[in-house]
Amino acid sequence: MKKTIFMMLMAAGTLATSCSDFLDRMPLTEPNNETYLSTENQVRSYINGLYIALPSYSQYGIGVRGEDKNSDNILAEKYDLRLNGEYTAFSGSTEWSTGYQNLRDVNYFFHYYMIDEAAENDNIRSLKGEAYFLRAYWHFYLLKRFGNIPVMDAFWDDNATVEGLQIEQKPRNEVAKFILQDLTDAKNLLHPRSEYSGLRINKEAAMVLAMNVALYEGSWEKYHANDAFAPETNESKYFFEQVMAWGNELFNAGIKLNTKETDPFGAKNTGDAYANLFNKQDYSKVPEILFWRKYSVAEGVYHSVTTLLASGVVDSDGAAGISQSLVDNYLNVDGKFINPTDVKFKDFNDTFDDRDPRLLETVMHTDHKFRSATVTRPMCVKAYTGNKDEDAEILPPYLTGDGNGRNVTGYHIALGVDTTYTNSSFWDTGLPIIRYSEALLAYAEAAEELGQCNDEVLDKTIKALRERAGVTYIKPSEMGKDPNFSNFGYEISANLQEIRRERRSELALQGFRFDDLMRWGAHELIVNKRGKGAYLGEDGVLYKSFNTSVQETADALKRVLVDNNKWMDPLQALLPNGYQFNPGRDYLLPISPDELALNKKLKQNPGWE
Amino acid sequence: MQKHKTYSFLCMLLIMCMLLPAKVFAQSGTITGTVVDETGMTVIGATVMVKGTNDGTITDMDGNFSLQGKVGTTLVVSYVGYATLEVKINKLTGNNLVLKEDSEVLEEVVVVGMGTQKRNTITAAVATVNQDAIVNRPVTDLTSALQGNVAGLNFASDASADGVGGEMGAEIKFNIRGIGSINGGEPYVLVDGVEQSMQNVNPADIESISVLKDASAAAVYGARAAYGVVLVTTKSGKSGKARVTYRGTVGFSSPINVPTSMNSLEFANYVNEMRTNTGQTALFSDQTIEKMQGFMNNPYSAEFPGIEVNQAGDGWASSYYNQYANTDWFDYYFKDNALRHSHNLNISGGSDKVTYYIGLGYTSQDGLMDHVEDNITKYSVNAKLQFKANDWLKFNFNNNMSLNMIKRPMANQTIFYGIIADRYPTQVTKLPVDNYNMPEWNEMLYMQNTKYNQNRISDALSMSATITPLKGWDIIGEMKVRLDVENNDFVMGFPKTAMHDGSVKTITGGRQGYQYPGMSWRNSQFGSYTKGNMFNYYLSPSVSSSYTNQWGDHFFKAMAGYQMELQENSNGFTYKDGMLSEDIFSFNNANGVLYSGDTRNHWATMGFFTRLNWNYQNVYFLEFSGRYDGSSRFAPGHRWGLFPSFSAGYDIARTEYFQKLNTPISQLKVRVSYGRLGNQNGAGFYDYLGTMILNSAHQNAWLLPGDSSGSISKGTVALTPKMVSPYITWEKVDNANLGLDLTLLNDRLTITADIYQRMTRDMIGPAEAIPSIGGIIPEDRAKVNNATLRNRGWELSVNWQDELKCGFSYGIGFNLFDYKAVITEYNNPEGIIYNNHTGLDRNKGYYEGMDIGDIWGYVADDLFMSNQEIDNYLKTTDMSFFKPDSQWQPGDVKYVDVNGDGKVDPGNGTLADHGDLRIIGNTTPRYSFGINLNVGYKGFEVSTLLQGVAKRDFPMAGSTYLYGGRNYFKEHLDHFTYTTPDGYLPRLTDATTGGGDTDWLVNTGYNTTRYLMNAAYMRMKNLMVSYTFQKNIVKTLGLENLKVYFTCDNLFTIDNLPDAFDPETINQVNTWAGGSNETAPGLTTPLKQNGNAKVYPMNRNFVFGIDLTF
Repeated sequence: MKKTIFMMLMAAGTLATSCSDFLDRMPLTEPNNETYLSTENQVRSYINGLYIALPSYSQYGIGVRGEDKNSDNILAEKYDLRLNGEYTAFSGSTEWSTGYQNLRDVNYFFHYYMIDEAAENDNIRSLKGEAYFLRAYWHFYLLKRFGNIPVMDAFWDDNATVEGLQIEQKPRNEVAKFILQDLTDAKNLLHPRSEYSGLRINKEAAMVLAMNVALYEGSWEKYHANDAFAPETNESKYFFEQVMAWGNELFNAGIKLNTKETDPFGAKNTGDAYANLFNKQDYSKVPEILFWRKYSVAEGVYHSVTTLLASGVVDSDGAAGISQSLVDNYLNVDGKFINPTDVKFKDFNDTFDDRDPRLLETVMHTDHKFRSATVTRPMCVKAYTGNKDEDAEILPPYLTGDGNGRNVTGYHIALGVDTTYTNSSFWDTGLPIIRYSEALLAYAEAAEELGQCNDEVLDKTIKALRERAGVTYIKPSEMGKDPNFSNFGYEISANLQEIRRERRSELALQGFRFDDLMRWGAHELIVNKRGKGAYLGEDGVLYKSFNTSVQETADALKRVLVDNNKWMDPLQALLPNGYQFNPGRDYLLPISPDELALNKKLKQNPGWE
Repeated sequence: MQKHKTYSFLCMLLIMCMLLPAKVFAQSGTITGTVVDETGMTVIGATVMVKGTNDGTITDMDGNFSLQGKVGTTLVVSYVGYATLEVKINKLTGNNLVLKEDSEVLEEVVVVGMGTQKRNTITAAVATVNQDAIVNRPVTDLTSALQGNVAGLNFASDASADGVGGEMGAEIKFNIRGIGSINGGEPYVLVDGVEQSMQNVNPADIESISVLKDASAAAVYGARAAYGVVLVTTKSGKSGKARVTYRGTVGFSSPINVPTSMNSLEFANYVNEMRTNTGQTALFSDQTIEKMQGFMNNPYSAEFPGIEVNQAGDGWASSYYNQYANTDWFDYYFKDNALRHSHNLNISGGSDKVTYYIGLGYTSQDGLMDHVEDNITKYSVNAKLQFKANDWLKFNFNNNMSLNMIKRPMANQTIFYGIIADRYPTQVTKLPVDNYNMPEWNEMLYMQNTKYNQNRISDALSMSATITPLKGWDIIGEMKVRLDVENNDFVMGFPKTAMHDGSVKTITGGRQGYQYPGMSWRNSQFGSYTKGNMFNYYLSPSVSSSYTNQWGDHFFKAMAGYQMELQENSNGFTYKDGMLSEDIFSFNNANGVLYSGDTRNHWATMGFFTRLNWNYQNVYFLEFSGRYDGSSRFAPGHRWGLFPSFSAGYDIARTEYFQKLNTPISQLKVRVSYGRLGNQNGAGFYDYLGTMILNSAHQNAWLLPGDSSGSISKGTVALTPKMVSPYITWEKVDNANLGLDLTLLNDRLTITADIYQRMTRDMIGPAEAIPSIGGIIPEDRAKVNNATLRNRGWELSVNWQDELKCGFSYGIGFNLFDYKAVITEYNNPEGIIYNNHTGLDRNKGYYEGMDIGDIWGYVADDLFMSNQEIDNYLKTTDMSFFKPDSQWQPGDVKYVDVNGDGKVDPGNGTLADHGDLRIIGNTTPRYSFGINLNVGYKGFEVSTLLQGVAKRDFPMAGSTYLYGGRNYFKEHLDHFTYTTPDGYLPRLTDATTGGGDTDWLVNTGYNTTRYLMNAAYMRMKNLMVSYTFQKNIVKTLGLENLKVYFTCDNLFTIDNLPDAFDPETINQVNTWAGGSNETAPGLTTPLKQNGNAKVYPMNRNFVFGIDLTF
């Protein structure tokens, strides 16, 4: 018995001494972060995780396709609060933290990356290049929104205290230079597009991003040179030169625009060559699309954007429509200006006649396949005749009814609609993220800003884009000033006019317009303006396409707001005086008061102090 | 004193006289006799032992015994439920030994932490429930039997998981003495010393339940016991002949508080009115409404089939406003009653060396869902063996095993519960064709093609050896093991429905809600099979030693020990779709996509514990206990915590002075305790480590090329770790308790009262804000121990039990308790008010001084009655926070400017400036009570248990119930219109349509005094009528005991709530229907939708039962 007791005491003693080991319970399914990033596969897993934060179609919502509601391209009943000067001191807090959260994720990579230089191969170097690209991307995200920002060049967790994070902002041009430096590093490490068919971040994509960054900063510094947002030292010329320098290097890569002749999907006309950049599953063979996201229903990676577009949605939050102003931006197919006051534009169908084919691919019109997956008929705007068979074809824009499919301007989105009509809620239309066209537009604009936009530049940029689209190219100098072109409140050259027009047409509904308006100091296009829609007078075909009897038509269209001349004016009740964007304040977002209180070194943006 | 001595002398003489003949005739031989109870009934199976020896026997069927002995021998007679009798024999034959029922309350042995104590010596706050309160309740889950029986036990006061309501097999949450920590923390439940779910215990096996409420009671359990301990003790074998008991029940359950839907006519007018109010055209045409009437008179007839072919002619008119049936979907989906039955058999007995108890249980219960398989079957085996090897060595072996088998259409049915409440009454349940005539909008179509089976075996076993080197000194080595093994599968067939031309359409793709838990429904296809498994094990070895001795008037007991715990959990699943045929669901019969996933984790604790008891003459009591605990959840250096506690008692009634007063009081004990416990729940398993989170099925991962296989796939993504929390440590729970135990009037009346304070310090709260440029989202900041919660409360239990001479017995008992929890320290320097439905953005968390459960809202008791009233009101009051002046209409809620600043708004939403927001109520249940009543006469007994909450508020805000959530219940007809200006609910508006949503938000989106519900209630939890047959009748049947009873649960409820709500499930939110469990502690400040009545209904059970022993 004594022996038993002794043994038990021994056992207890053994247990007690081994206690520290016993309580060390390492995770069973999660590897240690200190040693994780040590093989190519692990590095790739981590970098792949960073892609998730990049903007792209999510499973729900209309994503980038409806993003232009923050500009004069889309009018929405749930209008953009920033455009109307309704932002508060806290309105920037989400974007501020989103930017830095993503930067922390990237810097984590640099901090824990453990592969010796000697052991690196091209793939690993390229992955590292992706990390540089992403750090540039998120700094650019913050730069556009906040101007001067603290640059997050390292992983700061070890110092993540109030004291440790008293970090001051860098002037915006230094931020831009930091970004360009990261992109230079990225460019030197990354594989070219051809390696992964544009499915991963690549060398060319990094160069286009660099051009966009430099163009953004250059034009910002130029057009805000004399307002509250002016940088301390104006280096706009330097940045425009950067655009051209990167552009010249990019031209060597030999990328070509997708044309009717080269289109791998068998474009029947020039419009297809443009439309096919937005409504196909696989862009591997479209070199113009430098970086894109692939979706696959079978792999469980899909979105509902195509369904939303097919049911007429322009803004997934509510009723909306494309603005007349965007429609009017497109030239005639013969390369000449349109005259918006022409009576022809009161006719919904005539509006689309003989226009830049890109208009027809961007905006729903008669004969464009339309509406929900169950209604497999094209849009058809025509007057009721009383003939049953003929009337059955009528399918006007969705101006009446409820929900976010309701249109307030007469113009639904056609860009990205997959007309193959699969009866499904989930789609795998691929999403182009960086296109070569952007580089051409940036190059032309920078060249013009530097006074170097000669015919050679125009030929390889604006002319190339117009011809691809099927628009006859006329030299801007020969076209002269368009009296109906957007009035920016300052004079622009004919070249710049056509470069800006081209930019708006080519990049419509792709999320560029807002940034352009900001860097161009273009508040004149917004303040006290609210945009219009199509003509809805009782004599117009659009009105007549709504029912057989006049009385019923009037009832059905009762809720559609029109101005005195019967042009649709959806925001007249919501914005009686137009947008109240504050040019002395709203060009940059406020830094949240919480942040200012915690980091005493931060300075608030102009107008928000 | 002199007199006293004389008495003693006389007694002595008398005894000597009685003993004299025995001495004279000093016989030895066989002693025979009979053991009877006080009523003269013979006692079968009583143990009769010769004192001081191992000789003994057991009484036979007639209560007779015989054993070797002699006159003068002292016999010890014992029998369960009776006080042990010691008697000196003065004759060999004809001994009539009378056993008295053990009604000595104060001598009752109570199970306490790692031991037992006599009731009168306890100084901590301990409540007990004996088997009588449980055994004949018609419950399949032991937890529900505790409700109303213990002061301080709160049920359903925290948000339960996803609106499961009265669903079978749903875990019932409860807490002891209210919310313990903002990070959660549940009572520690031990069954026969092994931690496990009460769901695994067969109620028929219960011997007793102890609830340890304060620190000193729970201290020996240390790390796991911060918020109270429930000790469930099952029956053990007693030496004696084998006794066999059978308990059987049969009965049925029916749903209660099922909402009553509008009929289709009411619904059509309701929808038309709502649409007119929001500027839309009426949906239901007069013709459709006419057809509804036709349908009501002649449902599903050839003339009125309820549905027609759609306009295109290629399908059915699917729009609800083109259909005109009249369906009560609740009635359609739920049964009126469901069968249940249970059978329990137990055998116990033993010798002086070995005792055994084996309990077998079987329960089968049908669920309330109609047309589909919905049932639960439980099997249980509880085996307990005790071996006495010799004088100093004993072994114990317990094994409690249960098998739970659940069958239902979906694993998680909350979507379904939400859908039922959303269905339109005009939609048909069947199509006017012959084959596959279930329409697509009938959820039943899908439920009948899916099947979820869950089979779980839980086995808790413990083995211990007790060595007794010296009298009073025990050394116990014990090993506890628990295994939970689950195997489940989910089958999704292809639903088929008929088209108007008689063709059959097979539905492909998936449907929300029909997926294996953890999988995205969008990846779950019809024609798929999922198999899942779980294996959790728990190991806990311990060694302890105790020494007990009585030195004169001093009783002394010391105990110390060491315990380790290790738990590892793992589960996984495999899914495959593309089933080739529907006759067999197997992975080999499928050629589609394969998904799989698994999770594994583990944790460990270890601790040293001790307890010292001392008492003097059972008058003064002192107890010290303590535990030194380590947890794997904290980093080395922050792992260990010391948790001591102390308690003392003083039983005035036992003092010499008091006894001389000759009062009817037999116990008047004052108890006081103070102690500290630890809670580790605020910390995650691995918060102090930086670990990569890998996800091979990230919903938003990109399809990327680059891996060696050359494929373009989502692959595994590695996510950035959260900020590491290296410094977190134990939350400390300081308990103080002051109690009073009073027993009087021959122990017929017992009163227990306690007041307490529980301070939870160092709760893991939000870290100090750091600049966002750190890139760390607030939830991912390093955690810190920085919050404090104070919980104060009281409890009172009073019991009276009496039996009159005529044989009539009766009893009445009640318990009443209350608590209030306040946040006293919390990192919210701006004093932001956190609450929902106030119009404020940020609404999660706490502030210092916050009463848990406080509801912030607006004072608004009335609706606007006229335009004139609105115009006048708007002249003085700015209501633009809600909507522009032009949009106010009669029937809108009239918000009151309580702070008199000329406008109604929530200010800055801080404590300093909260505008017109006020604390308008509190969701914490106050003054909870339970009332027990019983009467008995000659074997008949009637008893009842009433349970309720005397004060509780619940805000009705959110789309949940009011409108827009697509609930169409009868009570919604009671709303404002110009013809019914007294309607309770505001004018009809709709959430979904353009422009109307502002109106809807104004009228239904904010907490208001008008729509603050009184959630107090009283419910008859149980009513039982039983008859115990007379012993002599029973004996002729060869039985020892026979009892029949009828019992009913949830017979009636008194409350003030709208019909659709059950007071016990009101806090449950159906997250699918827009509710959220993401609340500041538990339910108590609801976010998003509040309780939304979209849950499985509660049951009313009627059960007939029989108990027999032979």
